[in-house]
Amino acid sequence: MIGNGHIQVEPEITSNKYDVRRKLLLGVMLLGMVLLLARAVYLQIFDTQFLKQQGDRRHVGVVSVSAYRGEILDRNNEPLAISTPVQSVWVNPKHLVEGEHEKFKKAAKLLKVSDEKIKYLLKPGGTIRFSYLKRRINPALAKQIKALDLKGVYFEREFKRYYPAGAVSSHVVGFTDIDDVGQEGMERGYEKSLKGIAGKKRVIRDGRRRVIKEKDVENIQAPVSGQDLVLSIDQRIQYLAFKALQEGFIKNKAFSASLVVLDARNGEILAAVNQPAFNPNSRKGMKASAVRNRAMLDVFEPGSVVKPFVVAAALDGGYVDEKIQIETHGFFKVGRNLVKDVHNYGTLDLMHVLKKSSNVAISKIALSMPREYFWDSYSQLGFGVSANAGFPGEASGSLLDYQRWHDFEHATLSYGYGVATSVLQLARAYTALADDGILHSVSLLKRDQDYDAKRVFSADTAKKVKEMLEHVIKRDGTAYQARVDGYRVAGKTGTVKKATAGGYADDRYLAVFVGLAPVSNPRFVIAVMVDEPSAGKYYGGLVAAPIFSKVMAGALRVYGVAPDKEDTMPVLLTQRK
Amino acid sequence: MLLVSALAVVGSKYQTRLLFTAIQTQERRLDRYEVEWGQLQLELTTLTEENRVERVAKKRLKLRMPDREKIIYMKP
Repeated sequence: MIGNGHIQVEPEITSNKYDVRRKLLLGVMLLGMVLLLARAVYLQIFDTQFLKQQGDRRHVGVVSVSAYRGEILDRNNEPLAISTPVQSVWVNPKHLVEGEHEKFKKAAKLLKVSDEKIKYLLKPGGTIRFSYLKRRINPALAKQIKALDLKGVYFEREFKRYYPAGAVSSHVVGFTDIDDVGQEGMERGYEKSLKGIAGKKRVIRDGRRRVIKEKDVENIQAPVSGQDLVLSIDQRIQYLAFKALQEGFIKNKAFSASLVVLDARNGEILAAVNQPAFNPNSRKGMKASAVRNRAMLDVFEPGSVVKPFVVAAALDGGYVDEKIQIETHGFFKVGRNLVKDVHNYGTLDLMHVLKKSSNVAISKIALSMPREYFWDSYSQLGFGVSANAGFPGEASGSLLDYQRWHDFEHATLSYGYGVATSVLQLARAYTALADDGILHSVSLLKRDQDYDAKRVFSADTAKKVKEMLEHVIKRDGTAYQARVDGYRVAGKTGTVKKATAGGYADDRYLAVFVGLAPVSNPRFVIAVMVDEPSAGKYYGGLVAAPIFSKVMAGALRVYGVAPDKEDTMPVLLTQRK
Repeated sequence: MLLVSALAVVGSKYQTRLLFTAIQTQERRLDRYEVEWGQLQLELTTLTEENRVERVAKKRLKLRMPDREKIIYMKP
């Protein structure tokens, strides 16, 4: 059957050959028409969005609107960092008109654009469509350029960050980069809340993709301004501290120096300054070493300034009696090691242990306490734990675990070796002595109350130790230069050998002083550290104490704190030369 | 009816455009004031900068810190 059919059909195909082709072609064309029609109907009636989108894509663009960056203010709302709107100028060389090249060159000259760049931009056949001529120019200059009315030169609104306090608050505040992103300090730490959210604006463009002026179609998203940041810093004290520290830094030819002022009542950081410093407004040639906020980032062994805590811990735990007499012979053997004093002080009571800063006596006191208890009292004071003031990258320091101590480590810890703290942590620990045994948390943000304060010593102990420390500032104490006329001052000096590779250096020191005033009702705690003073003097009492005195006197005056040592006022008259 | 509503549409369109221009002008003014405010703020902070105040007080106004014994404290 198959064979038969085959034979029959063959001649039929040959005769209808063109007819089939014609019909097929017609069918295909008809199908195409129907498809096109269907698509047109679909686009026009059912899916109207598509064509509209395609049209919009060619004419409507979305432009981002930069948001205002929040200000950084000090506690009295003095601005430390503010943003002002400025213009940035950019050019699309494709839009430059041939006849205006001279005018363009003039504008570029005004903006101090290099000749090479102008040449490069004006090169015929160049492919650049966008190039900043100058970012963040002042409004007067922008007016001049605008007056030239050049085609192809456009303006963009940006914000310029300005730091009115300059170097004084540079380390705390930090700075932003060219794109207004925080790079250092609080600018970096609080980037998220300062930044705000850039808005979006829909605009219509013409055939050459230029924005048609002043015809904003709609604001898709209004820019949200960043939040202001109110710091705990008091710019008046910050300035005082900066000046005093700078003076001491230069006079002592030091490697670096740091100072922190705390409010003794709630732990707010009223000032934190460092040397060397930098100018955040003009950062050309700025060294990375000058940018470090050493007061919060760098740690060192604090030396003798921790001795009051040993005495307080021993008194609190009942390991020594208030009336104890400690024999020192100038040296004291602990295992195979020797603890030494500068002089042989003979027999000392507790007050004189601190006043003379005897390593031997303090080691004996420390060794009378169990390791765990002693370690715990240091740990409670925040040694080895970050102070959490809210500054990015804050140091936590270190404190060796007591299970790894031997007697010698136990002893050296009592005079500040084997523990590392930042200046801020040290100042914080002293709030425990200043505020009757209550250790405050520290904060770089303004606050009303310290909710994280905790008691580490009994009020009685703290008071006793505080009063012992008052004797350090006496004429025969180690820090007579820390005195402030009219006020009772308490504090402790430290002169620390610098740790170097392979042990302690014999000729490189840190001079430290931490103190508080007025003793009757402490208002401020100030910690000063001068790293490697090399102008001859290196004792904490001679290098750091005078800086402390200057800042403390200024701070007490600024805050109008009443003198609590009225008897020095007539004394003062007799002191006059 | 159709004519009235058509005219109303034209009218309201016109109103919208007028209002929009008004908004734009005001916004531009606001912008200008913002720029000015920023500059004034800068000027203020530069002028009241501690360093400058101290310099002016000492040099131009010849002010100085009173000596300790010249200060009289009053007890409340």
